[in-house]
Amino acid sequence: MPFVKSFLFQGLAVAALADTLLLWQMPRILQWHSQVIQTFLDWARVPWQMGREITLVPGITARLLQTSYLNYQEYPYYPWAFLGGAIAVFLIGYRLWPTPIRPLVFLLPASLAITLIYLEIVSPLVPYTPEDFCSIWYHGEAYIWLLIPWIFAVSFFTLAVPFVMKIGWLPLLISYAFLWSAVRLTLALTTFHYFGPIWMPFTYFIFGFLADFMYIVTFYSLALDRAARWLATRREIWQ
Amino acid sequence: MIFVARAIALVVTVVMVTYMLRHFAFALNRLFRHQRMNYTDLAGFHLPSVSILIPMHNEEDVAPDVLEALLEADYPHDPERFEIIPINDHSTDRTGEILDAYALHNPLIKPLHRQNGERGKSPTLREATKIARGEVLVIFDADYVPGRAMLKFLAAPFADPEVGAVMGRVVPHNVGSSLLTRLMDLERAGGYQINQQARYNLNLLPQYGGTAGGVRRVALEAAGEWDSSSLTEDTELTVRLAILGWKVAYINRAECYEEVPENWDVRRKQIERWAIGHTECFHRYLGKMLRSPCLSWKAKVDGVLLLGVYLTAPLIVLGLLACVVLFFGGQTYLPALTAFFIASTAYNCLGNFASFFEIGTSVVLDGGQQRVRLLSLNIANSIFSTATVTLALAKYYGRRFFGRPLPPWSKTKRFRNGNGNGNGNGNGSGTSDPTSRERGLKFILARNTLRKSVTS
Repeated sequence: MPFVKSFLFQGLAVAALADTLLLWQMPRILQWHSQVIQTFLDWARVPWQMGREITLVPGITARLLQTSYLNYQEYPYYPWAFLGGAIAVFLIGYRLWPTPIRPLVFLLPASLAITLIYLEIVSPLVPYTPEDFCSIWYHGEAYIWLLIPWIFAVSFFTLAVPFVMKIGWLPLLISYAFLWSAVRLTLALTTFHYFGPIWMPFTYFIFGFLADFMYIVTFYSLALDRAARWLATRREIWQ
Repeated sequence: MIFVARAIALVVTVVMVTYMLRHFAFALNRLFRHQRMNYTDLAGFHLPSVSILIPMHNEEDVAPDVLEALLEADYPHDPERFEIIPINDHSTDRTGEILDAYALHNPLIKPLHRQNGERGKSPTLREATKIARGEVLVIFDADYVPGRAMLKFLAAPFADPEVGAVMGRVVPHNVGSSLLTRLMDLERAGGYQINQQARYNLNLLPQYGGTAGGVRRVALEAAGEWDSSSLTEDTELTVRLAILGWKVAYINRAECYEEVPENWDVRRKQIERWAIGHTECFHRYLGKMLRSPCLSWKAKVDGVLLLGVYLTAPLIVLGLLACVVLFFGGQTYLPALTAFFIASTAYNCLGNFASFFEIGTSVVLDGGQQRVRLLSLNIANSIFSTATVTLALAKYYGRRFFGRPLPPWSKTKRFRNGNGNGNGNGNGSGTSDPTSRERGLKFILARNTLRKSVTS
């Protein structure tokens, strides 16, 4: 059998252990995460300073970064230009975009339009500062990091392949999650600094959790592919 | 407004999490729980009289393949027990001639030509059922190529008098034609290998798919014949049989090869039809199903989730809108969680019920390897499905509101024989890759040869 029930418990034990380790090392991980972002922000020439401290889970805190965003009162045409550009890109490229991607690309002008309406009608400022955005980001990401081992425990550890083959993917995925999260948050903060807060909802909805699930599933599929190859060499009799 | 958005986000999250848990439960059941008897040991011993019905409308490119495959079928070619009724439904191409030519050389083939009356699959099947003599009616779409042993496997469960319908497994044969066909292959694998099998294991509602499956004539008559007003006569029949207490058996080993849409436009039309037909069934049969004394509470819950699956698409859109409202309302924590759940569950739930976990495990069970790498690209399929289904259901509810009838049933376009350029005659649009087609058919022939050698 390519799947073994007892390996599910093995996976659950590994997940529990991984989460314990993660929680134990979380302050260091967050510190490292913050340092990476600081370095990236320096490269992007985005001024920053240390902000307030937030509690992610009881006993674990993170220091946020304070950056600024473009003031649209000084550059009133910027948001309109971004929206116009996004609409133009969508319309001109409509026939070029692969059909299944079109609804996803449509979200770009849609999110910019909604934000612009909000900025014009409700308030000239979005409800969040970049520091608040960091806070939302850290809350969501920390929970995803803690969830990753459990997703893998159920979906991957049940495979009847050597333990070493399975366990290797977990640190790889979690490390990627840390690094990719830092890169995305830097990109978001840089975008807010240079192009303003109109990009905030798009970054939040598309570049945030959806992107997280993309790489988790990608890692899962790659891991499964390797495992399936190994299983095929064992001349297993499939059920 | 914030309160309403919160309520919507909460409801959407609960619904989507329910679907997500259902998928995980199915996959775990398929992997680790007892697999229910599928009557395969009876294959070849219980051989009821079978009438094969094949509705055809302008199918000159695919008609010979299905007829040849059926004539090759490992089922007694006794005219008392086996007949093939291809139905030429208002064809304007050479379909009728091809059928007559086959009938001339083989008495088992009894073509039925329809040039008058209502068009579409259900009216066609209704008329063919009247002349069919078999106690079991097996239905194939014209673009399907049944495996050699399939009929034996499909006939065996009818030894159980409680079984009203049997469904086989559908495997795409034009997998290599485009990205879409590859994604559809993954989706089908998860949908059949895991989802249908688990629903059968758990005594829920495995779906009779309208093709590559059979129905007992008595059960069909009890359920009230084919409904020509339905766009998804298969779902409708599944529910009607279930309400009356007939079982639907799923036979994973009864494999049939199908041609899946090769371009997104054809896929869009297919999903639109399924979404409208399915949701119409939801409205028609929800009450009857919940009141049925023949169904367990588990089967009823599964039935609601099955019939309501296409309603998840507009729910996801609604949930996203609620998230936007909450985001601008400064509700940071709740949208984070909601967006998290919506992103995860929407991704898992759409696409013919196949979650990534189901697909992944099904590929491993099938002995597949590299194709699983495409799993993450299913996000494109998912987003496309969400948008398409939402628009289709908006049209559907618009029609209901204004009291207009459902759109007419339309055939899915075919791509075989390089039949790719849409010319409005009901055949394919886009281009077909002859190499991949050849590969697909070679695959079928190789399987048939293998089966022959195993049998001998």
